[in-house]
Formats: sequence, C-alpha cells, structure tokens
Amino acid sequence: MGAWASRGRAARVPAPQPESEPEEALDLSQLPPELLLVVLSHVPPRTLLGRCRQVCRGWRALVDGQALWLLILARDHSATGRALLHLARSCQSPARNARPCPLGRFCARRPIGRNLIRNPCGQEGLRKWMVQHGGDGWVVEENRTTVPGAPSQTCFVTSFSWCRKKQVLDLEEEGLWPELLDSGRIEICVSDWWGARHDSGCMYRLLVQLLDANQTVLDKFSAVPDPIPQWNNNACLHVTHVFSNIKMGVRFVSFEHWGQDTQFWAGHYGARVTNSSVIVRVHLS
Amino acid sequence: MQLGNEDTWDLQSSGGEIFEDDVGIVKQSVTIKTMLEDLGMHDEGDDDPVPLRNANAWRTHHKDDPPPPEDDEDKEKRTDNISVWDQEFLKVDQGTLFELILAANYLDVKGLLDVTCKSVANMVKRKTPAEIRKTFSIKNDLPGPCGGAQVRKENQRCEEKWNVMPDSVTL
Repeated sequence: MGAWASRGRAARVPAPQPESEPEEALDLSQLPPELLLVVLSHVPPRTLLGRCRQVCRGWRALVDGQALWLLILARDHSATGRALLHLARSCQSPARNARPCPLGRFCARRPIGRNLIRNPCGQEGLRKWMVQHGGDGWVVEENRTTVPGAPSQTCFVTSFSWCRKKQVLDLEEEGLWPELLDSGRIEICVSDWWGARHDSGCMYRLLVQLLDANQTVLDKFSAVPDPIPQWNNNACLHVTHVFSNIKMGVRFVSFEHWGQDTQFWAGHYGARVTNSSVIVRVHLS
Repeated sequence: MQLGNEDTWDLQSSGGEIFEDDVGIVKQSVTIKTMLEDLGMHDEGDDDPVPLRNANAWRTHHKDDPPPPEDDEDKEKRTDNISVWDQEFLKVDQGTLFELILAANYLDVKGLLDVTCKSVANMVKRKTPAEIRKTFSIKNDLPGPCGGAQVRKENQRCEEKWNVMPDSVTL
C-alpha cells in the first residue's frame, strides 16, 4: 500500500509558477537519507565540495563521507571506472580526525587519464613553470613542425646557454589519494617533444623524478639524447617513459628539462620543447 | 497460464483511480514484474491495489523507450538531458515531486528515479549555500566564524587553485 500517502507533511505549498523550478521552499527532510544521497549524487562534485558542504551539518556529513562518492563513481561503467570503484572501496582511507573523504577531490579533479602538466605548450607564456634563463633566455614561438595531439602548436625555445624549466606536481592535490598511489595498480606515463630549427643544431635533457612526501627521490627517468645537428629539416623527436612499478610513498612528480643550441648564437636557436605531459593511468588487469 | 503483454491488468492508485494497463507497461516496473511472477496469473483486481498515480503516466509515456546501453555513462552523469516531456511532467508541487521520487524508488523504476532526482539536483546547482538553504528550508547549524575560517581553509584545497607555483619563478 502507499506507505508514503499517510506520511505527515508540512503545510502544502501552492503550485509553482510555470518556471523551471518552484520558488517556494522544498522540505528535503521528507526524503529518506538514502534518497537525499541519490539527489546529491547528481550535483557536480565541485558544487558539492564548494557549496553543499557549507549548507548544514547533515549535508557536510554526506559530502565528507564515502557513500556519496562511491555512488558517483559507480556511474562510470567503463573498464577504468569499474577498476577505480573497486580501488576506492578497498583502498579507502580510515576516518582520521574527521578529514573529508579524499574521494571527493578525486571526483572533482578527475586526475586519471589527463595531462597533469599545466601550460604544456607555452600557450600561457611561461606561467606555471619555474624557469632558469640561460643566454638570451626562454621565449615562446609557433611550432615549425606540427606536433600531433598538442593543445596548442606553440613551443618553448631555448638560447645559447642551458635554459632550464621545471614543474612539480602534487599528486594528492590533484585528487590521487595515498592508498591509490600505494596500491601498485597505477602507472605514471611521461611524454615530451623536443626539436630544432633547421639552421641550427641543439641539445636537450629531460629528468623526471618521483618523490615522496619528504621530497626524497624514489625513482627517476633521465633522457640524454644525441644532439640534433644543423640542417635538420626542423626535426622533432618524441621522448616517452612509463613508471609502472610505482614504489610506495610516491606523492610528487618533478618534471624538468633543459635545452640550448650548439652554435652559440645570440637569440633563440636552441632546442624547442613542447607538449610535455604526465598522465596517471590505472592497470586494468 | 502466462500473462501476455497484450493482456491487461487493473491497477488502483492511492487516489482511487483504476488504470487499465498493458501488462507490457506494468512489467517496466521491476518490482511489479517480480510480484507478478511470484503470484503467477491471477484475475484482475484480486490482489491489493498498487498505488501508482503519476508514476503510471510516466511509464506509459516511456513504455517504448529502449533500455539504456550498459556503457552510457555520459547520459547518466548529465542533468541537462531531461526531455521536454519530462520537464513538463515534473512541473508539480514539491509534495508530488517527492512522492514521485519515493514511488520511483519503491517501484524500482530507474528512469523515473533518475529524472526526478536530477530535477531536484538542478535546483542545487548554481546556488550559494544561503540560496540552497532558502530553497530547501534548511537551518544552518554549522559552527560559527571560528569554524567558518576552518571551513574556508579546507575548501581552498578543494577548489582548483594553483598554489604550488606562481606564474613564473626564476630558479
């Protein structure tokens, strides 16, 4: 029988205006908690974290708890989504001094499968990079050769002495919770493009390091390719590496590279670097 | 004796109306389908009336909807894909909207549960906490200014803020 038909209700509000939603207040206390959870699971994660947490104690408890995020994660039926749901259930962090469940930030930031490097092609100038200028320093120019898949066909260009730039990624800040990082189920894929101006040889170095919370180096990849010679048809090379057996404790990725020319010319004839990427993936096996 | 989809079944809503429904429509509700199978075949009207109200009308409209593909994750995640018919259907007072959610949950009609919960979720989006409280008559029982500062600090990490590196730092 209609159990809800006899439920006591607050005074009926008049029918709403013909707009997209009623102006009058809706008394959500009428909904059982598990259905409030279903309603909130359709709200974007950033709104849940930024606004819904601030509404009242009850909503804060739901946003800071685990159940809501497991409901949201369960909607991703892809292979990666199912793997992540399993990891979220089995790797959940214990409730330590009432900190919000880290799955919330994971759902908001969606760090899996996307490039965590910011401003990879210089489309924002030198923003987001720590830079060291050598010679006439770094500049940003248009690509001379098309780089496949790059969000912008621009690159960072070096000069007649080593130019260096670096970016350090805070994996927890990106939403990757510690138990996931330590699960042995993720891999970190690194990629970079470097190239030359046709009329000048150049040199390039890459160093990617995995660091723990104390900035101790747990793993690293170093690329020291041969220089590109002068008269090179605007050659462009791809460097890649996958860290697949991630040691426990990895919390930061440090990405840095260097470039310079081989001719010692004033101006910007050195190595051109672009489309740097660090992508975290989940093992599906 | 099996009930064919073209047979009909009388269903009584809590409002007292009796709907004569194709069994095909009724079977869209998993709960009723299970009940029918458990009961075997019966004459109409022998069993307890099943309250349906608007849930029935929704199912009638959607009876020919194909089942959603297993991998249609994007459709589930979006809340802006409520059809025009459904939007009109959901322009009801709050009591009815909540009854629809409860009915859809009880009768296990997933499509209706999704669309009703999404429409309430849409009332949360793009509102400040104060506006959310006003919309849903929620009392603010969170800690005061001292707690508020802690909350703002926590939320700073929640927002997309680049606080590791400034624009360009010379090493």
